[in-house]
Amino acid sequence: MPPAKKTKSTSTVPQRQHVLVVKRHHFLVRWSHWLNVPLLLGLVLSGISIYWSSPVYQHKPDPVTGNFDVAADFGIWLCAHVPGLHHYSSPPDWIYNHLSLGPGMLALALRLHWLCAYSFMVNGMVYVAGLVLGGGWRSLLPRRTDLFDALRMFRYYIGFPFAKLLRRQWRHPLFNTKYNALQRAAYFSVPVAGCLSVATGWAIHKPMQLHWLAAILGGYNAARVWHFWLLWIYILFLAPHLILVLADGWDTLRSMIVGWSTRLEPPAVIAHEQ
Amino acid sequence: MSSKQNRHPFVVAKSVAMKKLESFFAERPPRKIEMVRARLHQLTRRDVLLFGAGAAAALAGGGFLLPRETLKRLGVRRSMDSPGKEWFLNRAVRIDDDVAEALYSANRRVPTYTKSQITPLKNNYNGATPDPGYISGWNLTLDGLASGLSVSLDIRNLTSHFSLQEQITRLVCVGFCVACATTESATRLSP
Repeated sequence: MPPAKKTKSTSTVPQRQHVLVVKRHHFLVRWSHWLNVPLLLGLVLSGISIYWSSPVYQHKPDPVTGNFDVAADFGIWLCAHVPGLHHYSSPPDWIYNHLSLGPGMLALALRLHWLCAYSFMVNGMVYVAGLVLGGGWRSLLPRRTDLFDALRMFRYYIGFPFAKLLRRQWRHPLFNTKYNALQRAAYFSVPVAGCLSVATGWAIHKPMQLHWLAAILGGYNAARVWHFWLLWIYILFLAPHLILVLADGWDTLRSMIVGWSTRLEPPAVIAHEQ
Repeated sequence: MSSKQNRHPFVVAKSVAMKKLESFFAERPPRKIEMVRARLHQLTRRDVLLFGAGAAAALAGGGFLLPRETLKRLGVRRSMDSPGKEWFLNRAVRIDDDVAEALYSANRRVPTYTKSQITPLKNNYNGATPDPGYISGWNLTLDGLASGLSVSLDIRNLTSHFSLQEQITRLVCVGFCVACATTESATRLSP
C-alpha cells in the first residue's frame, strides 16, 4: 500500500484520506459482462431475421393471405387491434420490423449472426477465465439450502412493493454470501443457458458434421426450438436483473464497472443493523 | 481419543478429505482493501472512462454493421455502406469456412439413408432423383465464393475424372427455399 499522497483536498481530516473497499468483480468478468450487451442484441436481432426465412412455428397457409407464419399472424392482429397501428404499411412484418433487422435480410443476418456467435463464444471463455482468476466462481455454485432460500427471497421481492405502500416493515432475509439464493440461481443458470445456446447453435449450424449433437437434442427441428426458447430465458432473466440492479442502488451498478464496492458486509447484514 | 481414531480410521480420513473439498468449494469472505482515496478516485475515473469509450465503440460498431433499413427505422440515416463492412463480415464467414473445413473428415461420415426413407418433395423429383444421364449437359458455375474465384463444373468432365458413388443423406437448408427444408437425396462424387 503506497503512503497517502498529499492531495489538494478541501477536507483536512486525516482519516478521510483512506477508504475501505471490497473487490467484487474481476476485470475480465466486468468486460465480458458488458460485451454481452451488444453481442446478445446482435444475436437476437439477426436471429429473428433468420427465423423469418424459415419459421419453426407455422400453420397451413391462410386461404386469403397465403400467410403461414405465427409471428406474422401476431403482427396482423396487432395492426388490426392497436389504435395507432391501423395504417401500418405491412402488418405481417410488424414483429420482424421491430424485433429483428427486418425481413428479407437472410444473407446479412447469417453473416452478422456468425460474427456475433463466434465473438460470444470467445467472450464466454473470457468470462470463465475471469471467474477462475478472480475466484468468483465459488460465489455462483448452488448450495443445498438454495431452493428454500430462493423461495424466501422470492417472497421478499413480491411483498416488497406492497409493504412499501402499506408503510409496513419488510425484513430482508438474512444471508452471509456475496449473492442471495435467487441471485445465485440466476447468475449460475444464465452461463449454463449460454452454453446450451452455443450447443444448440452448433447443432443447427452444422447439422451434418455434428449430427450426433443434433441427435442428442432430439433432431434438427427440436434443436431449432431449443435455440429459440433459450432466447426467452435471456429475456426472462434480463427484466428482473435490470429492475433489481437499478432498485439496489448505485453501488451494485458501479461495482460492475469499476470492480470494487463500499459495501463491506453482505447487504442483508447491513439492512438488519440499521 | 487416539484409540477412537484408530478404531474408525476410514471415517476420519473421509471426513478430512470431505472438509478439504468443501473448503475448496466454499465461498471466501470478501477481502477488505484499504485504498488511498485519491488513488481510488483515479482508478474509478479510468474505469468509468473506459466504460464510456466501450459504449461509444459499441454504438459506432452497430452503426457500421447494421443494415441501412434497420438504422432508418431507428431514425439513423446513412447514405452508403462502407466497403470495410463487407470485408469485415466476410472475415467472419471465412472463419466459419475454416471451422467447417476442420469439421470435415474422411472418417466422420454423415448419416445415410435408404431410398425408401426419402421424403417425396417437389424439388427432389418426388423422391425419385434420376441419375446423371438425365442431366447430361449439366453445367454449374460457382460465383461469389469467399476465395473470389469463379469455378465451373461440367458433369461430363466430372464423371470422366471421378467414379460415381451414390449416397443418400439429409440436406438441411435454412431460408431461400422455405419449402425444401428437410429431406432430399443427394449424390456424392468421390475420386
